[in-house]
Amino acid sequence: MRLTPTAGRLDSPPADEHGAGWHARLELGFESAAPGSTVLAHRSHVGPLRVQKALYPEGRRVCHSVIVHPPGGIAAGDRLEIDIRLAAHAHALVTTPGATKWYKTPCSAAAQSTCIRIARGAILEWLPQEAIVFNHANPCSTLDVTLAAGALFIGWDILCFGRTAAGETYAEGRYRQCWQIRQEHALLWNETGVLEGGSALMAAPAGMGGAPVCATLVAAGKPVDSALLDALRAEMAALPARGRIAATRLPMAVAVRYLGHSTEEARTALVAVWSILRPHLAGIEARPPRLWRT
Amino acid sequence: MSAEPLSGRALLRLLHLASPGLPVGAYSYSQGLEGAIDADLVRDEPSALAWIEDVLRHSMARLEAPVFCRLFDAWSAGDRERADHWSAWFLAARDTAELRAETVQMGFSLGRLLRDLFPADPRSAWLPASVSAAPLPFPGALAAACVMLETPREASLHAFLFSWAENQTLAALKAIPLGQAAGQRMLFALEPGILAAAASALAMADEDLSNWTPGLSLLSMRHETQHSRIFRS
Repeated sequence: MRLTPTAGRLDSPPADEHGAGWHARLELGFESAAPGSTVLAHRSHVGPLRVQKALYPEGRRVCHSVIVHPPGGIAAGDRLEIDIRLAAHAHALVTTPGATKWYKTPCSAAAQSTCIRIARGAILEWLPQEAIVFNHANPCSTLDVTLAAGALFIGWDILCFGRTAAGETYAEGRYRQCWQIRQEHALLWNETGVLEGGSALMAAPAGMGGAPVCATLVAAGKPVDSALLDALRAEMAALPARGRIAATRLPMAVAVRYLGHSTEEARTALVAVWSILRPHLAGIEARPPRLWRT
Repeated sequence: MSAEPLSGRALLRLLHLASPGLPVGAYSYSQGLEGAIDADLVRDEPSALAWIEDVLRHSMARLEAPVFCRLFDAWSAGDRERADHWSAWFLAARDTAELRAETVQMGFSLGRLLRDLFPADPRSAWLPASVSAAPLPFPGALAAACVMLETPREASLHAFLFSWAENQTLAALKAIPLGQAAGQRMLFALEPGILAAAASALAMADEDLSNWTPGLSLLSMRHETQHSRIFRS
C-alpha cells in the first residue's frame, strides 16, 4: 500500500506542497570486518526507501539486504536513488521483497537510479524481483556499476511490460534504461535502451517479438572460461524456458537473455543460471533466498 | 537526399569504400540473419525483406548509424578522446560475442588497409597496429576512412547504410537461398528505409541512442551453437 501523509493511495503520488512525487535516497555500505565476514557498516535513508536489517541466512560471509519501498510503486515525479558501496573483500546480496511497480505517469516521468561501487576482491549480487511497467508509465531506470580489479558483480533485470495478468499491454508510454558496467576504466557492458509503448519495436522479432517479458543477467568483473559457458548452456537446455533463453561470453563478462511471456519462467531460469555461476565465480554454493519462493 | 555537393572524386571514393570487394570480410557475417532463418522467422523474399527492414530501423538507425556520425565528427575534429569514447561505448553496446567479434575484426581489417594506404598520414597512428591493440569497431574505422579520404558526412553515412543493406541482401541470397533478381528487388525496396535511417541518425540526440533489440541479441547468442551455419555471425 502506498503510504502518504494523509491516506493510502494505490496509483497516485503524494500531494505535497509542490505537487511533486517522492524523493527517496538509500545508501548502503558493506565492509569486510574480518576475513570471510561482511557487515552492513553504513546505512542511511531519506524518504520511503530502506533496509530493515542485515540478514545472514548463509552465515557471516554474505550479508543479505532487502530493499523495501513502502509506497509499493513508483509514481509520477518520484525519484528513487540507491547508492551501494562495497569495501575490499565484502560480499553482499541485495534483493527486494516483491515486484517493483512503475505506475502510470501520464504527465511526468519517474526515475530510479542505482549507483554501485565495488572495491577490490568484493562481490555484489544485485538480484531484485521483477519490475512491472504499467501501461502509460514513463520510467527512467539507470544502473551504474563500477568495479575495481578483481571485483565481481552478478546482477539481473527482469522486466514485464504491462500488467499481463490483467490482460494489460504496454500500449503507451516510454521506458528508458541505461545499464552500464565499468571495470577500472573499461566499459564492459552498455545497455542503453528506449522502448516506446505500442511501438514497432515491441512487435518486431528483432525487438521484443510480441513478448512482454524481457530478462537479462550479467556477471562481470572476472574472466569466464568456455567450460563455464558450456555448463550454463547444458543447464539452460534442460529448462522449460529453453528456446527463449541464451548465453554469450564477452570480455570479462557473461550475459544471459530471456524473452518470453512469464516473469515466473524468467525468474526460475535466471535462478538456475545464477546457481551455476555463483559457485564458479564467487566460490560459494547458491542458496536462493527464501523470499523468492513466496 | 544529401544536400552536400558530391564531387566526382568523392563519389568514386565512396563507391570504393562501399564495395563488397573491400577486403574487410563483411561477406562472412550475417548479423543475426542466419539465426533468424534457423528460427524460421525468415524463409523467403518477403520475410527476408521484413527482417532486414526491422534491423535497419531498430538497430542500424538507433545504434550503428548515429555512432558512425559521432565518430565521423570526432575524427574530423581530430578529437581522439571523443573518438575513443564512442568506440568504447559502441563496443560495450555490442552485447553478444559474435556481433562484437564481427565489428572488431572488420574494424581491424579496414584500419590495417588505411595504414597501408596512408602511412604518412599522422592519423594512421590512431588505428590499431595489431589485433591485440585496443580494438576499433567497424563504424570507427569507416569514419576514419571517410575523413582521411575527405568524403562528405551525409553521403558517407548513406554509403555505410547501403553497403550494410547490400551485405544483408547477399547473405539472404546465399543462406535462404534466393535468386539474383530477388536480391535486386530487395535492395530497391530497402531504399526508403535507408534514407529514413540516415535522416533519423543525423538528427538523433545522444539520449535517444538505443542498442535494445533483445530478439536480435537472443538469436545472435543462439547462433553461436547453431549446428549448420555458413556465416560467422
